[in-house]
Amino acid sequence: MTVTPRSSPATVLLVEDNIAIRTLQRYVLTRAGITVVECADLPDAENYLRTQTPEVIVLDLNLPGGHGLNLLPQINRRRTAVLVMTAMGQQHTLNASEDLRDDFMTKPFDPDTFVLRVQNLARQQ
Amino acid sequence: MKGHRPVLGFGVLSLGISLALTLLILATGVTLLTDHLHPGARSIWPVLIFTCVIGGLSCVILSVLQFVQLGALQSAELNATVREAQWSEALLAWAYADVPLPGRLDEAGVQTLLKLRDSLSGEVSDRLKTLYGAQGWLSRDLRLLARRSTPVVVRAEAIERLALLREPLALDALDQELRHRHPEIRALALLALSRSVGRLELHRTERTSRVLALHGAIIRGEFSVGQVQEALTLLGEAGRLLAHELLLGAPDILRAATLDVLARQRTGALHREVLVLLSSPNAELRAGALRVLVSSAQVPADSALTVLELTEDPTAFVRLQATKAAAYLNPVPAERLWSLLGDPHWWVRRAAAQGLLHVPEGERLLSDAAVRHADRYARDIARTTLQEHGERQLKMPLTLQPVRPPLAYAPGST
Repeated sequence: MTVTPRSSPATVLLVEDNIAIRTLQRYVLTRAGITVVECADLPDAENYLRTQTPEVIVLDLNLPGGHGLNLLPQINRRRTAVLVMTAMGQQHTLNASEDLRDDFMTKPFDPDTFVLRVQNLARQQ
Repeated sequence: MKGHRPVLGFGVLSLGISLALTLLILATGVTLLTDHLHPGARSIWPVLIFTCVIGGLSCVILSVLQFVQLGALQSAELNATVREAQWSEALLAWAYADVPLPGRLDEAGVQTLLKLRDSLSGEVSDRLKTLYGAQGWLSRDLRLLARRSTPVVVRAEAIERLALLREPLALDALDQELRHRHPEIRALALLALSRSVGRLELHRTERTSRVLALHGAIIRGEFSVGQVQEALTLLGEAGRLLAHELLLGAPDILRAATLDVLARQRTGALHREVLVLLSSPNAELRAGALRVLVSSAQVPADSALTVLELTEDPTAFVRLQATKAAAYLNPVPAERLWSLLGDPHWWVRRAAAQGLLHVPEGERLLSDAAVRHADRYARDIARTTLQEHGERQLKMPLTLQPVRPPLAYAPGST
């Protein structure tokens, strides 16, 4: 788990195993002044959520250690919004769980839109 | 470290087996020599000692080799992770802030660039694509594909890179690979083209010609059903044209595969082509067409009669899909669903019972069926479905007694 220096009241937890994508997400969010915490797998994220409550979680679906949606029941949904990142063609997985997430984006995604979505979700919390 | 656990487990297992064998040899020898002494016993000792020493040495060498291999794997993986993280930072700094790259793109840099390119859309993604070309990797890949003597593995790697790159300039080269003599290369080219055409914003004419080229290759019978389905999925919106062509003129196995993809995409598109297949002599196609209607939750009113006829189809899986589709008709044919509660096939009975829940007074109808239906299996499925429905609805108590006299259409009262 990696934490960038706190520069904004909003904290975003990135749960993504692909280093390149995680680095990109952290890069663009940090540029927008958002504090970012990174987790590479499901157990790491579960550990973090036991002690911390981020404003937003950016959640990948295919993770080492389990499916990303398995994390949803462990999230305090009144205080944390969830942005699900899914590969193109996996939207059907989300149809079964519409009540479990606040927003989703398909890959490939536009970085500017990604930052806007995260900021909107953070503002709603 | 988690990725190395199987290797470590395998090493420990090998070591255990070696130790067990050594102990077995030793125990056999001791038993032979102590309990059943015979004249040849003295000559056995040197052989046993030699065997034990060799066994022990094998154990040591094996365990050392296992741990060396584990260490090397771990080190290589860690090194690759660090390099990917460094290249990601460098490429993003270059793309966003024009910070110069630390050097020319090496293999790790190219892989990272392609991962970023594959995950992104927009201006930054296009800059990364331009960088790939500017550093000579695009022309290198195209040269590799143009050369007939390129080994299959090298060719496959080049196609995979181009699939991630999504470069219009590479589409012709990938088209050529659709006719390669190796089926693996053809399959990779099909998927690379589908991925590229699906994501690139090509001119309509070019997109159509590319999709028709894919259709031609598929019709030549060069791909498996799974590969065709993956191509249809990767093509996204552009896949509609391919699906249209396949539904109209492909062999039945490909038509069924296309219907399967449309059902998974839950799309209401191509309904006209799909509805034609409701009258197909092939049961797989009839069921596939119905599944598309069910998954899109749209059953056109003008096909209501056909759907109802298919609820009497001789094939059980067609009746099942027709029963599910009937629940989306407006109005829901409650009388037909009531009859289907007594179908010989359990899944059809279940679908009919669940379909009745779509009717405004569905729960009451099912309550009636649970006590009044002429078929005992129908009564069972009605009771089970009501019970499941009740559990879902905050575990409300189940009342199986009809609240008023049976409905006029109930077989027992007609």
